[in-house]
Amino acid sequence: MRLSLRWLNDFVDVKEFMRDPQSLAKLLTGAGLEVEGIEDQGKVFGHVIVGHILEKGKHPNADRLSLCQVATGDGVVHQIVCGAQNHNTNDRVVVALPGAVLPGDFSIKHSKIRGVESGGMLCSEKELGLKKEGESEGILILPTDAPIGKPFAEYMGLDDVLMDLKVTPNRADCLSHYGLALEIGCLLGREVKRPNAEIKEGGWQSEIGVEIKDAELGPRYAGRMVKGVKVGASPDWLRRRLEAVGLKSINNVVDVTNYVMMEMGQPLHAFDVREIKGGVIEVARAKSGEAFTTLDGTDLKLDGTELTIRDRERAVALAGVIGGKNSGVNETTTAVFIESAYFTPGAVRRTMRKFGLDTDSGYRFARGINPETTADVLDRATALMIEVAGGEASANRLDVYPAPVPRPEINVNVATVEARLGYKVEAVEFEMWMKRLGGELKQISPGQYRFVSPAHRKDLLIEMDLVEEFARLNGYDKLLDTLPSGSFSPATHDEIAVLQMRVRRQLKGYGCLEAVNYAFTGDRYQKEFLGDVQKIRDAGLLVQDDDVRIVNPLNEEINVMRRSLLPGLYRNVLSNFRGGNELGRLFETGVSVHRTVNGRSERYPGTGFGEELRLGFAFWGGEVDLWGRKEAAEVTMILKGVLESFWTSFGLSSLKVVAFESGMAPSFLHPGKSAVVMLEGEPVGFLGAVHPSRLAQDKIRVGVSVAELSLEKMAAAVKAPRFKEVSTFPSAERDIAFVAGKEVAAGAMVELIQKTARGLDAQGRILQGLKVFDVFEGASLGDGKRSVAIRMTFQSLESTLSDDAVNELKGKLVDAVCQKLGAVVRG
Amino acid sequence: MSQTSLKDRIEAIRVQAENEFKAAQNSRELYELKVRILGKTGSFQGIMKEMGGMSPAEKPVAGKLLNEAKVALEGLYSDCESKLKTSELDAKLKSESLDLSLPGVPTSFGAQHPVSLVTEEITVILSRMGYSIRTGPLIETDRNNFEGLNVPKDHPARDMQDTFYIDETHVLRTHTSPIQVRTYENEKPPLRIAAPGSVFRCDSDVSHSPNFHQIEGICVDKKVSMSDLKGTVTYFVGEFFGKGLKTRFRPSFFPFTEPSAEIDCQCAVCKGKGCRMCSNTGWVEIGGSGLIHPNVLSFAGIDPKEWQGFAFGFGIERMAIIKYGINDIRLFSDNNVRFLEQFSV
Repeated sequence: MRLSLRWLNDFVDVKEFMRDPQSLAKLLTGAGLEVEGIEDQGKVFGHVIVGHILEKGKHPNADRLSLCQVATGDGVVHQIVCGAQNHNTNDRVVVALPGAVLPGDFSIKHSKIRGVESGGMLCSEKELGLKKEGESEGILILPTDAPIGKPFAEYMGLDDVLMDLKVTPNRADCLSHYGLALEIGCLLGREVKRPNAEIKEGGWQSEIGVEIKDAELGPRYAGRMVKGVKVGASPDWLRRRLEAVGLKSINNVVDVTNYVMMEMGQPLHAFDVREIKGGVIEVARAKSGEAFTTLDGTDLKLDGTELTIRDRERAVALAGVIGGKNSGVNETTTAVFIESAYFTPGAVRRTMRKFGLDTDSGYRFARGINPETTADVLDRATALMIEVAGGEASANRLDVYPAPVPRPEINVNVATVEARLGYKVEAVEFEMWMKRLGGELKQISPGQYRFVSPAHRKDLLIEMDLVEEFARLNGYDKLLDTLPSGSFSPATHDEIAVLQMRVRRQLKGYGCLEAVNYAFTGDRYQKEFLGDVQKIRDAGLLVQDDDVRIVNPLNEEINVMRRSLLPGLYRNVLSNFRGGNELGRLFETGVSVHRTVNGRSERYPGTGFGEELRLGFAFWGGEVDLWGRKEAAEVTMILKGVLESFWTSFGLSSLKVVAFESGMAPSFLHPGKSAVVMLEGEPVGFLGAVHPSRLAQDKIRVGVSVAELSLEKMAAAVKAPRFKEVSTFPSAERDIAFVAGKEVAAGAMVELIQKTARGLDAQGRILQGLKVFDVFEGASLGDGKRSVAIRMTFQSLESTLSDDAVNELKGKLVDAVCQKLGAVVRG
Repeated sequence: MSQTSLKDRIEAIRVQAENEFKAAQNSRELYELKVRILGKTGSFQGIMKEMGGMSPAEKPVAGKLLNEAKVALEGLYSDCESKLKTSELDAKLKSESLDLSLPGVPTSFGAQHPVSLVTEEITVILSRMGYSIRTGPLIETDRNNFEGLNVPKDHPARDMQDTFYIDETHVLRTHTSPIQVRTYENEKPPLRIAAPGSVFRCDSDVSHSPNFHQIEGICVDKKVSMSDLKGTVTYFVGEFFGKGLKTRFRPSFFPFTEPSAEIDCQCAVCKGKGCRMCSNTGWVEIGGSGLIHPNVLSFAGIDPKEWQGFAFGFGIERMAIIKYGINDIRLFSDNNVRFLEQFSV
């Protein structure tokens, strides 16, 4: 809401704030009407002064320029070069002196024009921003009584101060100047005047009648006919006020309806009487399937639920929202019917939402206007219409109001106010504020009152509303800083929150940076990235074929919920890489969204949608540091290292990484450099290098690896640490290099050794550690062969091991690998 | 073999060894000398062998001589050795150095995203005041997101929240408040909960993201006042931004609270003196709060005559912006490595 202080001053004395708008802004903000901006028009016209042309001479070097000597009341004669032709000696003119900044950021400075000093500018209306291009020729000549030296803004009444107020939805009463005058009057204890509503009446009766057919949606309808109007331009003062509050001037008749709406908060409409068929206005629902064209030419199809204003034949307005093209005022109109009505907020709001219409009128009706001042505002509008457009009003005013809207009555107790606010409240203070609100306050017993809400305050319905009113008016700065004295029962955090906290802390420890992406993404990108989602499902993640779509997305980039964290993380890789970050270790913990699968119980029941908590990774770039310790390892192995550390410290030592069977890797992964993660025989996700063709397409020149795991499935298997005895006896190590075909996984060797040792019970138990420490491929080994060097560590809890005991077990373990995996021990 | 000659031979070895020990240039050379004279195949060992052929009368005498010489040489050896070792160590220390201005062997460090960092910091503070974390789904029912929070259909307050719809009755939650509605269904007052989460508004510009984060605190008890709310928020602000920062309440409107208040706190950057962050006002807006509207409690089957409550909520990104001076909302979703690294706290 844009507020003009000059306009406001018509109703309540705010003159002192014209020079100190900050104080008013503070008062309003403190009362819950946040002032978001202040525009001081007077400042726009600084250094712009009413001047007197003492002498108009010729410019010595230019025929089309004049050289003027101008007085501006400061005792100095200003020499100004002027290019206009319409001024003469002795004219009163508008002078912009050096320092002025005219609209369009046009700074006025001392200058030399064709060799002659010029100390300012004589202004046209266009240059002052008062008229548009082409509307005025030459400089503005003021009447001869214009006082020399008076600031131009003050002289023209352009020294207004405008404020932008953020009016919350509950305060519909503050969407007009008069409404804000009431609020300020209440805050400051000042008298509020009503605008002039004296009407020039003719001795004739209205040719238009009013019938309410749907009093539920349209409880009150008032109207009056005005004959003999001349449609034309609005007077300057009216136009200027409308423009100041952000409305365009259309013509005097329409401008009056808009002006009174901004003044009183009551939306109005003017019909051309010639277009009202059958001499009656009906307030009734639309006919099903009826076509309607709005004032601004939008064609709508009505379904019969909308409240309309109709004549005997057709809809002439969508009640409270917008008028019809068929019945508006035009240049040939001479008789108008002015509507002032009260429609129920819900009815107007539904119509607006259904058709996506957003009008100043609808905005006010939907928030709830005062139903008791409908006819008074009609009088005000009628009076102003006749004042600016001429004509006379019908002798009768129509006002149909079959069932008056009741005012809420509220029982309120000062003790309750005190308890809810938590500070001492004096009854006299409470009474004072309630009375200033404009309602009726009746004392029932000491401290107990009955309050009848004022008609303009639709938001005061229950006792708590009055608690807030008192707190607000008395000042929120009166609140104390205390703490709740009650008891509370100890409770635990939701598991999912604790789980995520643990995951973040651990991965941070492993050098990963946490990413947080939007929970939605673009359908095309997601589909293209994920490819065949059956493969992702087979790898243990709940990913459905179809997207969960947003009905009204902001744009196509974010129109579906994410089914995987990877499309988002991969985007992060691209933007990082393109931004020069050639190495990154990102992880994200968040949910993917799906439709509830039959029978599956979701964490949050009742919506028909489910979430799977995931853990995603995207690593790119290899590490080469000054010390040469870490070579440019395959980034997939760096990622695997982090994953192993993570899940071991997370309490999940039983996770296994198993190569995808042929053709089973998700399509965005390199089929030979990816694997599924298994937990006790169940897949829980995957890891792997991003497919090289994807990288080539995106021009990424470093390796990128990703992983996505179901954190929920993993969390279910987490085991708390269990103490294992630590041996104090010396350990022995044996290094063995096995040569086998490349297809024999190192993991298979390790697993076989472990399994064999377990099968040997007590003897096998001395195998304490197994580590692959070297892998070698070379011509010397033979085609398709590879050497895998494994270090076995032996240690007993009971004694120092003898060489014989170690070698015996080692022998059995080596034999197993050789026999079962076709390996030989390398010389 | 005469006694004298044995004695002379021992003496000769001893004197020669003494000279050689003293002349040794380094500890290795010294050690080699020691082995040559005192070792298993050394000079003395040869004499030991000769003693096997001596008479029982000669043996102890010869043994004594030999032993005396050995003890003397061993003593000399350790003297010489420690002298040589000391000077060798001095020389080693003089020759060795490390340029400690070079970077150390790097250990990569990680960082949490400022959104989770701030969320966790807030929950830790609220936990100390007895609030436990509750969560909820991203897709909510119209009932939980609006109706249960005193925002019926056609209520103008729905305009305050530009809502993404999934279908007629499901929305992407526009705030974390539906968690409140869910909690009331499963738990009985008195209650203190902290509800963090990701929220959605169809609104995107320089200062708004369509997917951002909030946290709210809810306290339901028998006797709860606006002053209790203000005291709670003031304590929280002191813990989160630093002690001594004042808070200020401004009247506002939220459908689910009555009275409602915007929370301003003294600018954490300039401590209230005025700076760019606070547009020179000394105050920054950090969230909303109020007493829980009786309609919200009634909807949940809690008698508002018996129970009251307060609620307060903050925008996580907003809190991070104020606390860390982040100047662009888009940074939160870009996940740029050089941005994220800065929050390794």
